[in-house]
Amino acid sequence: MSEKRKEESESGSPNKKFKTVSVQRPEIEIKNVESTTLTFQQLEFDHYTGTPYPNMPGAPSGPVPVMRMFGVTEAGNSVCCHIHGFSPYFYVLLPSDFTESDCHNFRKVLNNAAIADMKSNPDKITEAVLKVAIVRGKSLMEYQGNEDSNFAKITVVLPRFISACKRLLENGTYKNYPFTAFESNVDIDLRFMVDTKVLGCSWIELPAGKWFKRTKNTKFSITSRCQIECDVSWEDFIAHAPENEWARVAPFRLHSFDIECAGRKGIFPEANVDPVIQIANIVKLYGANDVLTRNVFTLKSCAPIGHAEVRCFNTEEEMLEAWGQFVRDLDPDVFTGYNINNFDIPYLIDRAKHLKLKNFDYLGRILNIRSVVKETINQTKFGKRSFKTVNFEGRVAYDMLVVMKRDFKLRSYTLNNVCKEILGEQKEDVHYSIITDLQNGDEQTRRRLAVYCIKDADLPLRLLDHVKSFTNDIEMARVTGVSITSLLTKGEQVKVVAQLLRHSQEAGYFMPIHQYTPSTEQYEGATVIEPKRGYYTDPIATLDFSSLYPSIMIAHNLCYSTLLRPLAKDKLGLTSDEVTTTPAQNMFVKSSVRPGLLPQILQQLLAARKKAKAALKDEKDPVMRAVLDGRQLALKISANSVYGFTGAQVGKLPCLEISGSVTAYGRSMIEQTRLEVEQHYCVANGFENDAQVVYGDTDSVMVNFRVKTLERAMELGREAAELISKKFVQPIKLEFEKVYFPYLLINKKRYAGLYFTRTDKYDKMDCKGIETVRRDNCTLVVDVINTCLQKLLINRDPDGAIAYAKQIISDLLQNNVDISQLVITKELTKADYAAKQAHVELAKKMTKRDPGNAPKLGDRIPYVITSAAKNTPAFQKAEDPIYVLENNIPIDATYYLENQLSKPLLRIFQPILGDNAESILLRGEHTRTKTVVTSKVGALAAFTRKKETCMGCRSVLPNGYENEALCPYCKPKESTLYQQELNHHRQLEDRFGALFTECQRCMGSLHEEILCTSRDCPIFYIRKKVQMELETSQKRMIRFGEPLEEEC
Amino acid sequence: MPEDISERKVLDYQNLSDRFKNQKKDFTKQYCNIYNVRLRQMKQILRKRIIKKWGDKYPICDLHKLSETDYSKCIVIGTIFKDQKLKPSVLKQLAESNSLVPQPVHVHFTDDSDTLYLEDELQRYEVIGNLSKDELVTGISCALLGSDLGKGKFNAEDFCFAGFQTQIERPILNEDLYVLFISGLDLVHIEKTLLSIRLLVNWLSGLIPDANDVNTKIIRLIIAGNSTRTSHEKIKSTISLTSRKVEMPEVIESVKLLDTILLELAQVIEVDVMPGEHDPSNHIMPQQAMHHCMFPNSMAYKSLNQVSNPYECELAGLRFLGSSGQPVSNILGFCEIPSPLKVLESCLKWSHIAPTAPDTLGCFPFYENDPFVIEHCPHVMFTGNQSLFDTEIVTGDDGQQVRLISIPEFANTKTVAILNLKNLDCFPMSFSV
Repeated sequence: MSEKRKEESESGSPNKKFKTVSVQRPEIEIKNVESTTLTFQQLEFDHYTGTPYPNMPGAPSGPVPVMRMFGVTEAGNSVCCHIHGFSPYFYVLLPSDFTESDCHNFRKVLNNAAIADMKSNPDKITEAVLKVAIVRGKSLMEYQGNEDSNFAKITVVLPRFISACKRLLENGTYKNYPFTAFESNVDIDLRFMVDTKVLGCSWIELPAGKWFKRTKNTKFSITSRCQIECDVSWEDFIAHAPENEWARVAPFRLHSFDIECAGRKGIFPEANVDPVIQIANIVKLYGANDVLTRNVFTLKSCAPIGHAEVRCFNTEEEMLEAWGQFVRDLDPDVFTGYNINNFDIPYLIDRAKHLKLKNFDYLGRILNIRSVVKETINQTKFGKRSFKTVNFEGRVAYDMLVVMKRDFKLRSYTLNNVCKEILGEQKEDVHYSIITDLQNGDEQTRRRLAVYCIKDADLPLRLLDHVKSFTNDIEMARVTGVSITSLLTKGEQVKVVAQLLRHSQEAGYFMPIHQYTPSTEQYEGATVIEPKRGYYTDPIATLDFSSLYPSIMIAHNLCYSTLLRPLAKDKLGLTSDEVTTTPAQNMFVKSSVRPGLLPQILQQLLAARKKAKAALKDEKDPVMRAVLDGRQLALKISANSVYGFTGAQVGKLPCLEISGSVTAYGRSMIEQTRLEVEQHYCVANGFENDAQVVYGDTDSVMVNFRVKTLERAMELGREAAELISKKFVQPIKLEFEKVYFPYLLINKKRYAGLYFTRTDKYDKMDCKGIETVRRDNCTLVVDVINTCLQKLLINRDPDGAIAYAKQIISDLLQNNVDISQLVITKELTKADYAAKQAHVELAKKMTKRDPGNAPKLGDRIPYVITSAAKNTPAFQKAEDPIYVLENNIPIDATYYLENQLSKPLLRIFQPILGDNAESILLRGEHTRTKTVVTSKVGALAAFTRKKETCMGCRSVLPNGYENEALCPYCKPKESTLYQQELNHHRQLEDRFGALFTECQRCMGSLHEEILCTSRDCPIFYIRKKVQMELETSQKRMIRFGEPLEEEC
Repeated sequence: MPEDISERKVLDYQNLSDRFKNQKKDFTKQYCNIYNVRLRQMKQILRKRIIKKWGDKYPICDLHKLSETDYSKCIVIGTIFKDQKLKPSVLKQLAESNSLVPQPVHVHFTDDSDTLYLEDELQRYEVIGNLSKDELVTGISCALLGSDLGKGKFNAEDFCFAGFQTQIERPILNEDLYVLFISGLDLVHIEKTLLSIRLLVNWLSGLIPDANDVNTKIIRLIIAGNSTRTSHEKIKSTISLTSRKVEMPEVIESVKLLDTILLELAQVIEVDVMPGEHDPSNHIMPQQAMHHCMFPNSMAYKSLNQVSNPYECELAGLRFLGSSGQPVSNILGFCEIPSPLKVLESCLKWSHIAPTAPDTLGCFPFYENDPFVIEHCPHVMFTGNQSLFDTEIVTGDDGQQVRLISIPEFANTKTVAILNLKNLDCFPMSFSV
């Protein structure tokens, strides 16, 4: 293989010799396999059907499942480990008359039925059911006494027999008895992990002498591209719990890449037409500061780039094959990038297929498996969505777009916007129509493109580092015990299922299978104490229940295994002391009767979190700090997700009795807290004032102690938290956390306040439910609301806030608001919408204007609403902001006032101004002056002829004065009028300078032209506008005559 | 009093500032052009200097070709870019306008984290090694001797600037004749300076006798900017970037006052009036001569010259080059060069009077040539609107001698600078009352 590699790198640069950096992993240092213990951190995990390995447990012949782990050693060597002898199984509940002696016959009947049930049997399987054994245990669901029942553990040869056997048994194959199956919906990977105590991303130790390295000469030949490939019995390896030395993370190879395609104008690139022209790659080791390598593969020559290696190719075929080989040489553990799952990867594979490339798609770690694109439709809470998945055996596709969508709530998820919001910087954006031009230019324009492409590969890695998502996901995988891939591809449920399974197994429970039945049953959500709206200038103390839902479940022993059916109580002879009836009228046995499993899981999670936080305090190493912080976060999220799991009606095991009871407890506790506070803190008890609870929501209560100082409010808050905590069952605890001062309470779940945890300085401005992130708002709204809130809360200046709001409204009506603030952006998703929508209509209009630059599906369309004849529907008034700028089209200020600004503004000012808010803000003196702009296009523009007017009094210039700036009447004021004009011109000049240099800095070059068309960037439109206005202004200045310089 | 003028000597004068005003102003152009033409112009000069300094021992390599060559040591030519996190940024301003938390106001923008880059038409390299970032700013053209360290870093062992340009020979004058420099009249605040200005005008017109007759031997007055005001009135920027701001009446009054004063001066002496940062001219560099419509009275005199900023002229065979101070003040803000005179000297070494334009100093997006490149070494180089008077003679590698003058703000110091054309002696004169 190394020879081949050499060939590739030479043929990789046909025109020029470049320095190429070796990207291979370090050499392995194993001298004697028998005496070496192999340890590695596993990252990916799967199974395949293979043949039995000699002297290992499990079926001795025929096809058997083999588990396969991929990972990396501390030294950075890649490992592929085949684990033999593990067979899948499930349970059925046995009738009471079933005894040990029936097992043999039961197995035979089931085996025969299973064999007969197969559509075809190419492997000539005769033994489908390997073993039937009686085990004792209980169903996880419902308390039915502490007596164990008989279950049969049915072990089958291959995973696919599980569902067949389950179906057969349910349908009465054995003695017409309808068996109930347990845990048959657990897939073999999870089953294996639970049984061997392997957690996601845990360290695996193969003791010396117990593992067998594959070489060219072994009977089991090498199947993978990993440096070490080996075999081990499933009983012979050790999975380390991620504690102490096993908490560290191996130097995983993260490979970020980005591709550029030469698309055709107006058409989204199609893999069977448009070529891939560049692929930029950045490789980094986990935990390292510097990159391992940075390079770019280009089609046709490309001038060298200082900070990256350039590899040029004459044909696309050569380039793609070389890239495939690069990936195989590099042997990355993780692929990352931005939207690689749905764009870059499928595009590359489809393109390679179209070009009929032989070796390109061997991108995974198994020698003979090609990576293929599969389209899957996934049902999420946001509706049906189709996803593309590609198999890379042994490698993880960690798409940062998926991570961003999962972890952050943003206005938009374009890479530009994500960078702006998360990294706080703008990103140059080259329009795709320019990309083709750059490619068709010379080696310098292609270099320009390559630099841009490299940046796009760089950013996902920087995001990954910045938000620490990979570290956090490793910890989440460890805490919940699922693989890192399933954290991205599967929902919340699998995490709880994995934990539930692990604990059930230890406690002797079997997990039932939930039959999904659509139900209309609704349980009441978390309540709120009706908000007493207002602008509070007194400090408002907030009392929070810490980990409310987990604590309730622990305190009241709420679990599947403790749920008591109404009839069962008497049947089992339980006294009322032994049973808790929840406020939702469900019954659960107390922990004295049976400690619940969920409370046990939750206690462990909370205890582990405490421990992680304590360890975090002492840890100095920044890498380990990130790990521990990720862990405590994962533990917190996991604890809170248990409640959600019990309430998810389409889930694996919903139990509305639990979730309903939890919220009912929550509601009653909030109410109780209110009563306690108001009864205790009153003048009658010697306090300064009667306290009032102004609002209460899911797990917090806002109390107005009616005291004037922060110190006093904090003191009372702390005291109240302690006092009232005592009234609740352990471990429910009320904590005093913060004071809002001042506090603007708008409505349920809508409030804002200045957040204090100490008396000298506020921590932050906290806003809940106030539209600052809604996508269909223009930035003006966000900015105005933010500024108003700041004036209200930080400056405590309601009058200033009102004056500011009025000023903005007045600016808006006088056309003084910058267009970039008014741009609304929507994604063009489907070609034909039933309802007419502004951005769709605009897209049609733009297509008509310039078919070459027509927006395509998936594009985000920015638009502004322009004014038009009365009663024109809004969707017809949308216009391209650039077109608006160029043609001086007037903006529909009224639309922005009424449809964008008014509601959010009224909402925040209502608590202050009361019902007068509307008339004060929207109909005051400040709304009288409006500026009317004349458009250069439109119905009337064709009939009007522009006549020059006097710049002083705007009257039409008389004959003989047409070329002057001023009319004879204004001439004496020339100096003044000139200076007015000049002052404006100077401002524009300054802005021009500041904007264009800003873009140069963002782009990272002084000598190259700015091509960026990032419409997410706040200065994009301003830049364009300034250029246009300067031109106009220049013309006006010239009308005063050129400045004279007399020469002697 | 026309007799007064005839009493004074009239020397040959030529305004050499055409390049500051005759270029087309096209705002559809971008700033990359000015860097490209600057580098093209400077490369020619630098190549000669390289031979002089290092001989032809080392190959000269384009930055973008570094990665495909393996010279152990070579020379690269490019433009300096100094990445400074404190550099004012519109984006930051926009982001900050949303938070009312007051941001620290910087007047000096250097920081330990500042990084130097060298850039040519295509490539940017981070520069490490023997190049002091304290004495450099963005926009300087230079050559570096060193080696490529890979991953976009260049280790500079030595460096070379364009150096002083050739200087025409200084003519020998046989009598003491003087030029008077003044800047920062700040007429908006006339109450501070009224008496001092009167004193100056009277002295110049000979109404007040001078022991050495200096006043009658002054043959030219150069007003180096900020005649109307010296500091910017703070206007809070609002969300609406385009609202027009009305020029303040006191400024309009001060322009009228300037017209009157210029009228008086032009009656007795040749006057060159350069606009300054806060004068009614365009705001970005180069500033054009102030418009005649604002000076209806004084413009009637031929002895009054409204000139550009920067301003270059030849007087009795002596070359003058200077600005109203913006380029110098701007450079001072972005590096650790200690004084305006040192900045002027550096500019001569860099062969450029305003390297930070356009990066941190506004300028027109020139595309035909860079007017700020120094093509001829002047005899006198001045900058207006500095806090103190200062002067020095510096000598170039080829013996070029240049008189540097830092002209103080008159409003604060009541001081002017006077230069003797005969021996290039320069001294301050105070008019405080």
